Amino acid sequence: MSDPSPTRVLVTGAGGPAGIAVLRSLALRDDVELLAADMDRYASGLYLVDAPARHLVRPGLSEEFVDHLVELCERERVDVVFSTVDVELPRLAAERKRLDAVGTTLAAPSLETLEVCLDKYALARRCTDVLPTPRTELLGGTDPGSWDYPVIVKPRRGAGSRGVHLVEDADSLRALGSDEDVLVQAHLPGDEYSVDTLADADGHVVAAVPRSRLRVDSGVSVAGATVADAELEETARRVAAAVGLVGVANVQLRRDAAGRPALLEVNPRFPGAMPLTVAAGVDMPSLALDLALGRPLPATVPFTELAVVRYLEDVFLAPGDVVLEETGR
Amino acid sequence: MTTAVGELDLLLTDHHVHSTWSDDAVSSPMENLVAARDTGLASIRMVDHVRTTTTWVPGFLAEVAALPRIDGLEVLTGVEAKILDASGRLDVPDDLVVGPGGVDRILIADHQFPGPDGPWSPRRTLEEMATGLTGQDALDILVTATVRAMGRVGRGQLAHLFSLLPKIGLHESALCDDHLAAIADAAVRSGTTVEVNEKWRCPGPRVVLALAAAGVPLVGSTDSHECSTVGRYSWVSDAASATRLVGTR
Repeated sequence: MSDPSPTRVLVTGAGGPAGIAVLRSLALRDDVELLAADMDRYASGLYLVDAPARHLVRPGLSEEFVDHLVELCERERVDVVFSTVDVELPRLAAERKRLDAVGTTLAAPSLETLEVCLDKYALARRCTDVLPTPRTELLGGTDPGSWDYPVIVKPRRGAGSRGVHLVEDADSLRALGSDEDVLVQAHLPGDEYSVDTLADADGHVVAAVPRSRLRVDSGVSVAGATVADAELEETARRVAAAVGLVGVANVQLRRDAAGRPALLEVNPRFPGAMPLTVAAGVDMPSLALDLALGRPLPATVPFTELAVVRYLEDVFLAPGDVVLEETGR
Repeated sequence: MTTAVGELDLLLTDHHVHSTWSDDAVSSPMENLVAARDTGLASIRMVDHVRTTTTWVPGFLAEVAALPRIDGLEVLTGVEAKILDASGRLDVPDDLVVGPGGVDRILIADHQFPGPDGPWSPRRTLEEMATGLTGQDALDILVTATVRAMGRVGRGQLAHLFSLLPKIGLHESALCDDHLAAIADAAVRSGTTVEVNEKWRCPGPRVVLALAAAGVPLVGSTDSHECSTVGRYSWVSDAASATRLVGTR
């Protein structure tokens, strides 16, 4: 039996660029009713949807987060939830059945895929035999004398560019100690690319759109361009296969000394720079919604080469329309 | 506090307003009260979501009881709970007090389909309907569960009645007159009010007229969880004026 009512889609992380990108993409579909959620009442994306569709959620790390989100999805009859927050994703993916039980589909890769992507050490080990991968070891398990410097040091788990820095020599690396949650990775000399990658329910990659990040401000790409490069696309496809991707992920590649694209990391979620990929012809939020709804996706979706510069935008509101400071409890 | 909803213009009531006691809502009871005053409501019911494990109801009631009095604005309370199964069991705490010293009403909600073995998601319901359960069977189960829930509660309010139907591929037009009569009879017998819900745009004019004709007290409901939407009606006011329940305003 057909379902004539619009699809109700909840987007969490409405304050971040990824959340806003998903909201703006899905707002163009006339078969979708959008709801937005964030833990912060000043999250700008909340104000891109109608007042009744704005929701506050608990922080993704809080104990009650999943319980409350499941209840919210049940009450609001959410058909599909998009989480754009790293810390929420594995928790929701682990409880996908509870969401299913209230009628809500989580539009996110499988828990297994999320876990291997969010643990950069596991990811490097998974991919090292499949495609060029820079040498990656745990800080506590490596001989500082065995590296060519500089090297990259970064948290084993973590989002964006937080905690990532260059270390210039073996003494400096020794001085960092032996933390098992820190990685040492060979520093590749070439250009870096983000490849927005969408795989269908069978793991077949429908689109892999490489983007150069021409300017980055606070970890967010503020100028970039899509790049038609078969080698980058093919590398992203192999990464997608290696991690078992179903859905959207952002594959970060960098060329090694030989000019080959090598894997840095995979962010298994929508990137903040997604509007460029959408404008270049691949509306990944919309395709990911179709995937979540069990609808067939095209075998491939082409993209054009396109550049973007970005700026902050303002949403003006009557003071009374700003979600008020909580005074109840 | 006494309820005189039957005599009030539906559009001067908002009997389904959520506050920060519901986790995703963003306005406090005080903010909702001020919004109700500013919109010119005559009656507001403050309602928050409960389930069997909820423990905060006394705190919620104390906060509402401590709100300042506003002349001409009646303040009522309620909790909203889903019907759990076909027997009409509700997802409320065992120790919930209804009536004096407790909440004024329990809002009976069709958040899920009340299956014989517990709540069914819309998808599960559609699967059951694809493998033998007819639309009429589904409506019978839903109506029967709703009638039973009214009987269990005593002081109930049907929240967004039939909002579930579009999600399971059905429409109110598939309801037969017996279904409407059963709901109306049970509502009158148990003193249950029925809200006309702005957010979910239900129940539709045919159901509203049938209930009104049977003498069921009807109230307005925004299902608001943000004070800027308290008492603001568009669909409800159109529906109400179209069905001549109230004068056009």
